[in-house]
Amino acid sequence: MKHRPVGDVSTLPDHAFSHHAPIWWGNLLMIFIEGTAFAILAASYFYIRRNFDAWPPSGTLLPDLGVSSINLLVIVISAAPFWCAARLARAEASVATIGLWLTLGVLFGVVAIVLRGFEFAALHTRYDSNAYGSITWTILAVHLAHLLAGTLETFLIALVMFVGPVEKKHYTDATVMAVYWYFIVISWVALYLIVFIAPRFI
Amino acid sequence: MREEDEIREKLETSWDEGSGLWAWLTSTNHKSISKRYIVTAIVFFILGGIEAGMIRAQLARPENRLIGPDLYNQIFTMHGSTMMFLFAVPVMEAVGLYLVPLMIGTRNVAFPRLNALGYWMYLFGGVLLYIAFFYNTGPDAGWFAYVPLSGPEYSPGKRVDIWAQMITFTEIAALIGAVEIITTVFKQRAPGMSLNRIPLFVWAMLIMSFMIVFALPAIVVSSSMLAMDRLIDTHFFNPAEGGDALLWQHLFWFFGHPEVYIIVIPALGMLSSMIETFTRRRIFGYPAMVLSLISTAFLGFGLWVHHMFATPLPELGQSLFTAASAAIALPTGVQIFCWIATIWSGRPRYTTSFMFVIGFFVLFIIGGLSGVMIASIPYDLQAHDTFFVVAHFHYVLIGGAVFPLFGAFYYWFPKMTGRMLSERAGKWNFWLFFVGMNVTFFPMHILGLFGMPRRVYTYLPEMGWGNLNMLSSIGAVIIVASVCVFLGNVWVSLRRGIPAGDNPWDGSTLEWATSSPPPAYNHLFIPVVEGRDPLWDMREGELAVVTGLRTDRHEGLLTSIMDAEPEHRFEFKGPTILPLLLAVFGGGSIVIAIFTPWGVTVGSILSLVILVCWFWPTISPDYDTPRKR
Amino acid sequence: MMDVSQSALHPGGPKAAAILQLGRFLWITATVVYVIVMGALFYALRSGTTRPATFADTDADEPERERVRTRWVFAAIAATAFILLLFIFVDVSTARTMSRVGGEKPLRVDVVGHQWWWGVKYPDTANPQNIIETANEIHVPVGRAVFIKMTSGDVIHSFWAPNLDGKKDLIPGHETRTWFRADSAGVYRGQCAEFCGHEHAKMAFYIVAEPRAQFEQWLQSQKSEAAQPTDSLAQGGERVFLSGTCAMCHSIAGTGAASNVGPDLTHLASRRTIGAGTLPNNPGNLVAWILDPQSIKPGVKMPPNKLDPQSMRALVAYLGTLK
Ligand code: HEA
Ligand code: HEA
Ligand code: HEC
Ligand code: CUA
Ligand SMILES: [Cu+2]
Repeated sequence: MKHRPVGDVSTLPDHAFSHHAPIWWGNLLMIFIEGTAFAILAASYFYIRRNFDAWPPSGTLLPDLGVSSINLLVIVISAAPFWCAARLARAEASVATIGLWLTLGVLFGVVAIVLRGFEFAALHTRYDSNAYGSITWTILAVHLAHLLAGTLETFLIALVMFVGPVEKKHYTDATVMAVYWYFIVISWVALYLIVFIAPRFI
Repeated sequence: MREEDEIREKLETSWDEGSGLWAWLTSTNHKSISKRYIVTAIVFFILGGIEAGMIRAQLARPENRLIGPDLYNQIFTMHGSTMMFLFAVPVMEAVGLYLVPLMIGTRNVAFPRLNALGYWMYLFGGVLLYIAFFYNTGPDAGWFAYVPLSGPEYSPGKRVDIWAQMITFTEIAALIGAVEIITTVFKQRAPGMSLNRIPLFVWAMLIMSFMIVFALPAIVVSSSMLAMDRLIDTHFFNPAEGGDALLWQHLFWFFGHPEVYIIVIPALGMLSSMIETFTRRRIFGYPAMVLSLISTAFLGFGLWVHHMFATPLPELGQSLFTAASAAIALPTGVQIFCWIATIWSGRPRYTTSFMFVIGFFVLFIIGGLSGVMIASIPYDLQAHDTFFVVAHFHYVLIGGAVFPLFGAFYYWFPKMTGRMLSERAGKWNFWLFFVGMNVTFFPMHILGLFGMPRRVYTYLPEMGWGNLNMLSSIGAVIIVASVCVFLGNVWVSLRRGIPAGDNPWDGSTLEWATSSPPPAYNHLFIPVVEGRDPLWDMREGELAVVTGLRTDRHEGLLTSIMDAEPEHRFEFKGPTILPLLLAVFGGGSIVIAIFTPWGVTVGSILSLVILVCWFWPTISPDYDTPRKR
Repeated sequence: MMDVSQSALHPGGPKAAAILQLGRFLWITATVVYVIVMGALFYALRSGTTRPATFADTDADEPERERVRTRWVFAAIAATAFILLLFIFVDVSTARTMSRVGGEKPLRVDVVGHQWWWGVKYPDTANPQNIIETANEIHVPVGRAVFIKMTSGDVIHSFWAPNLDGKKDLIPGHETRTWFRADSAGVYRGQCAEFCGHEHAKMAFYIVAEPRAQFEQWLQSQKSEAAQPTDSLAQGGERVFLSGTCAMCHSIAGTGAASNVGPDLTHLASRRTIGAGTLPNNPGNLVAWILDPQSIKPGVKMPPNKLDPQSMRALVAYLGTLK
């Protein structure tokens, strides 16, 4: 095969942001997959609802709004440090500053994880009590797994920012991490409405 | 020329993964991983086929005492699960992961280590299933494992747990493959390969991947619910505690129906490639073909209830699913008509590949038409869960997926190995398969109407099903002969086949622009695409290319999604043992979870350590470094 | 054994007949579609083969033929759409026909699926104590609609007597319904159609459609309790039954045996088969069944009974009196 060069790409940059970056797509697809899983859990919740006369089942208290609402607030606010970190990363600012914002994000994550422990108690049911308990616990637990994974990942990226061998492409990682965290936040708002608020109306 | 040789040498060095066991275990090259994937999938096809043979042996005569119910139930469950989860889906993805980077002119898939992880997960899932089977712990609740039969009360023991965890493994692998393909196709197409120039094969793989992304979460969630019901006493499917047996069916088929198109759509892509080459004619109606694939994918998510017509659901609701099932015949028909128009205006070459293509038409349309029949609720109430349905899905699966796949083997084997398969043996392979397939499965339509339910290990002589079953079993023997011819052909051709050259069939897509087998880095230079059929559009036998990618590390070119304009360069990750380790620890935890929930905890911690190593940057950066303070 | 009919192709009632008619429409249409598409394919192959072997793509230089092709493809798509609409129309109108019960008040029968047998009840809303319980055999009057209410005691089963109707699932936690009518007298075999474990293959039942008078007679006889055995052998058999394990699982109305684990045996001797259609009901088979049901129906939920020949003779004699 003979070749006919028609261009030279050696001067192109070696990193890019948002939908220009493969990792951004990988992350987005991950979000699609997990978002679909959440949607299916939510659908199962409403499907199971139909098998009960009362919801929550009679004898079970409504889920408490105290700790769960505080945690909702924590989780929503936690988007802020990620937003700052992502903006700085886009601007290719100093990595240490970005690391600091991410560390703040990790702290929020840890608080949310601790509060999640109390949220399980606030459900007033257990996973093995009945189908209501099973689905509500599972929704909380699956979201908890996201909090754990997200917090750990953020911690790692922050660490890289402080001590690791950093390349400019790690700016992209910081922005992608933020996108993933937004997903965790948004999905929780929806799931909170389903698990804690919906039983008061359906 | 001298310059080219220099570049080639440098690429050879930087992409070389070495040889020996360690190199094999650490490889992250999409071609070596896909080849393993394909070989493994064929091994599972043979295992699934041997199980099919046992099914046919048992059913050949009424009141046959060859196999008892306990074993029979394991065997047909293993057959269905193997064929669907360990053969059909993986083999399609594997062919895609091999060819897509070559066809779009890139050096590797987007996330090479993840790709390796996908293979190992798949392998472990399959091996787990078969080890369990040989220890008489094979799952026995059918490939869709309906609750409550598969629940803790009616399936004590570990059989169904094995099934559920095998699902977890293979679904992770399939999802990984889908993410790879989508990202690779979106970002790594050769400059100039705008959306309307993507080969139909690549479109098919892309669309299949999107279906995987949205369909598989349903089975991940539902099989996890099943595992929890069984292992930690949740009540998702327990009617006594407000759970629901039908919830499982909805969740399973919300995955299960798209699953069958996940299997058939890649095969349709293969057909487009083969038809184009063997008629020497551009595919008629490219935009219509792409739109048909996309609408099949969308519609595919709206059909799942047609597997549940015998359950209590509102009648009007069910009718909508009839209408949707009928509607999907339209895009399928459009593709078939476009292909016929292509053949009509081309010059067919009757190679073995093309014979399999013709076989596809003859068989798949039978299966498609019987599919439309059972989409009718009243008709399905008779046909459902009988051998009529078994006939339907073997016609579409074998006619629609296995035949194109065999055609594809003959077509791309030269590219993958550098040698041609024997055409003479190929014709035997084809005719035996074609005849055997019809003899095996056509009588099943009639058996179903004569009242024979599926999944029965025996039947009474006075039912009068004996003769047709015997015929069907004889057909299965013919298929076995055909598959043996195929295996023999591969064995001999690998050693003594005619050397293939770069482009033995005069194909039009980019995989034919490089040597056979392709070098580790695929293309010496990233090609520039100027039309839909780059090699047929080539001017004066010269391939337009871009230069300037670094040759001292695994550098790739990223282009924009719509128009494939060059955007930036990036680096592919290189070989590492980490994916294998992660599969061992992560997979180990999935297996141990069958026995104690602590498996998840321990495995997660071990996996975490691996993940830290995985993501920790290792190379000393000689790319742009950022501001530290 | 007996004249069995279990086939969707030999309808014995209006629902199965409607489906068969729909089937004929589908088979004929599909055959026509298939022949046309294959004809087009082979025509295309042949006319392609007449081109020179050196042919290479030339779509640009034959716009006229390209237009012809486009027109044909559009015609085919339109024809497909038309056939599919027709299909939906026929489908829906068949479903309509099948949902029209009509006629006098239907007979009500309750069916409960078990691994691997069918519990059958004829409820009597006026006299609840008149409920008839039987198993694996449903008697119905010819010409009168039968309304079946179903559920399952364990896993999912599916009720299917193809000569009379399509199938309907029995699902634990759900109640499903169907109806059918037998228009000609006869014995129709049915079989469980949803995979339900080991003996899914041997979970059959019979629907016996009888003329009205005969049916009423059967109904009366089933309402009665089991007759007291008169000869001493059978009396001994009753003792074996009641003192042995049998009474732990089976009920015989009028005796102390009242368990629902296995089929009701009150009128066992009037039934055609034992083991849910597995064996003809005769003394020899009864002995074999009671001695070792596992060898006849491996996995069945009835344990083997090592009775001495004397007790076995008595037991079978007793079971034979349960007309
Ligand atoms: C490759 C896999 C594959 C494919 C492509 C299909 C394609 C179709 N299938 Fe099939 N199906 C399965 C695999 C597949 N199926 C499997 C595995 C099962 C059983 C699962 C189990 O229970 O174990 C199943 C079961 C199944 C059922 C449930 C049966 C039951 O359990 O009772 C139904 C019901 O509607 C159905 C319908 C259809 C329809 C309408 C299509 C359509 O997509 C077909 C469209 C194609 C054509 C119609 C032919 C080409 C068109 C033309 C030539 C145009 C002219 C046509 C007309 C005018 C009609 N399928
Ligand atoms: C892609 C999917 C696929 C494929 C290819 C096949 C292929 C075959 N299937 Fe399968 N089948 C299913 C998917 C598939 N099947 C599914 C999903 C079910 C439902 C399961 C369930 O109910 O849960 C099913 C169920 C099913 C049944 C119904 C069982 C029952 O309900 O009781 C039967 C019965 O005949 C059957 C037969 C066959 C046969 C004879 C083949 C043949 O075509 C097989 C051909 C292949 C071979 C014969 C390879 C063997 C090669 C050799 C032996 C070579 C020798 C080896 C060496 C030299 C190493 N299948
Ligand atoms: C542990 C429970 C159990 C015990 C004990 C038991 N059976 Fe059964 N029996 C069953 C079940 C369950 C069936 C249904 C089996 C099937 O067809 O799948 C059955 C079926 C039968 C049948 C066939 C009924 C029919 O209509 O098909 C007969 C007859 C019978 N048993 C008699 C006996 C006798 C006699 C004894 C005692 C010697 C006995 N059984 C002890 C559970 C039991
Ligand atoms: Cu009951 Cu199958
Ligand atoms: Cu389907």
